[in-house]
Amino acid sequence: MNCIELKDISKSFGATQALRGVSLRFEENKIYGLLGRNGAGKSTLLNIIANRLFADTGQVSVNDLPAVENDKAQQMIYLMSEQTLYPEKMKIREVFKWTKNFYPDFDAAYAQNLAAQFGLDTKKRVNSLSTGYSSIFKIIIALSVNTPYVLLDEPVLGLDANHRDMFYRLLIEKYGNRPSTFIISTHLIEEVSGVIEDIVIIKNGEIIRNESCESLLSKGYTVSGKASQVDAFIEGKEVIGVDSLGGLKTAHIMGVPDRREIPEDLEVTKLDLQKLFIQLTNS
Amino acid sequence: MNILASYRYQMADHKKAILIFYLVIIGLFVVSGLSSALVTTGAGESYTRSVNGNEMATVIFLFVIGLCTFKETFLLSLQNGVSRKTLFSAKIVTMLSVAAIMALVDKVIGLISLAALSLTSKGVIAVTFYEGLYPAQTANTSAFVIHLESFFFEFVLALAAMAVGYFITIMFYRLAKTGKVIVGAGVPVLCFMIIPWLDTHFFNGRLTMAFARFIVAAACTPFRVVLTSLAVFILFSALSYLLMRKAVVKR
Repeated sequence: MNCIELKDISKSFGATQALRGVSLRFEENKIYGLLGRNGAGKSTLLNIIANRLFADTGQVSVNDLPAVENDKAQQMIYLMSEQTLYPEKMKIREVFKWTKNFYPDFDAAYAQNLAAQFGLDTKKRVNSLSTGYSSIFKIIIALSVNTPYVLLDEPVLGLDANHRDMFYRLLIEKYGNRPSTFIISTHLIEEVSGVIEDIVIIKNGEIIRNESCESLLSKGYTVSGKASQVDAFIEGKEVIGVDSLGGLKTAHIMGVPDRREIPEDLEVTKLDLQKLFIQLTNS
Repeated sequence: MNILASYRYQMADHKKAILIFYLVIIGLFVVSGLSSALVTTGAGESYTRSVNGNEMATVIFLFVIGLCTFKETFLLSLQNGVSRKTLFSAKIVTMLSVAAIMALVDKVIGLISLAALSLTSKGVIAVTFYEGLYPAQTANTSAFVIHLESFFFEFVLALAAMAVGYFITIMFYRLAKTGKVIVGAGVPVLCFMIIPWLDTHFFNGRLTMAFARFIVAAACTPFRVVLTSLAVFILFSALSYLLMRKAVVKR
């Protein structure tokens, strides 16, 4: 089956248990959001898939091939990590050249085009890039590498709003033109919620949610309106968050809304993913 | 496919350093050649001059190359989906290629400088570094065989030097901070202070003598040097692989 499959993966660093028996499947041609708080185990999980770390127990396979120390499996994966693994003194255009050497499907012309769009000078050396441009440089490779599975660990780290917007636009464009599996690990949940299809939430090294974004968000709803009306409505309901502004209030509630009991003046919208995430990962 | 890509990268990674090294070596030979041409000898006198000191310079240079080529290549390989075993295989092929190419280039440089020295300096008997080391073994051997033997001699020495350098750098990569300090300071202290002290006070110099006998036994003939170098290359390459196969990306 074409997917990345993890079976009972555990990993610890000294006394810290980073992953506990994680079993998971990333199917082909989907965009996943891998969400979790700091230290939840997201990067460890991605690094194990990409053969950079070894799991203590469990198996990882890519399209049914064992992923550990397997070039064939690893050639189907590209991991853009927070940490830059390219030689510091290498120029960006040289990185493009060598990426083509290792990944024959790397589209050098597209990468050059993206570099121009982002304003990245390819004559610069890797170590001379700012945090934002370092992310851009790695995003460009990730979008041009054309592997079936692209893993993005904090891809928008240090990017300004314009570049973040550009990245999401390019990601959707790329996905539309040449579908592949993208796994995006990020803290910017609001931003990524418009892009992802499926959500995997990891907490203390365990998967607590793994379902489609739509299904997850259908587990709750948001009501907004006059504060007094909202307060009256939410009484006795499972409220996961409240925002107030002047006399207006917005409440995020778990459960399915009963349209009959909702006052006309209150507006009902989809649940806020970030609020749900906070609720799920707070305790 | 990946092994070829990794080999291509590792060869390219060495290219610049090797070119700079040879520019320096050629520069030194030119200066040394000019100074030799100015040396005059009396009528009927002659003196023996050894050229090809670059052979040992190459071996030392390749030891340093071995020391400098792990971390960057390792991280780049993992970034590009190359497994550790493929990286290691490509590294072995790279070592064999670099050692062969450099031994060959040294041979060419040596032959040119021998010819130049014989032409420009009267009364000079020019011998290669290899002939200088093993005069008895090379006395009645044809020039062609000497050049072939000295090529192979340098080739295996270079392989051994690279393998030792590579092992040291991987070992330091794998060690934690404390381990680095212990090994970095402990090995020199052990070799140059503790063992000599123990040898003087408890063994009456027998440790030093045993070490000297081992060196003599390992290097007394070119054939033994070749065998010893090959053994060192195989041993340290195997140890490097054992360390590399569980190496991970460090933060």
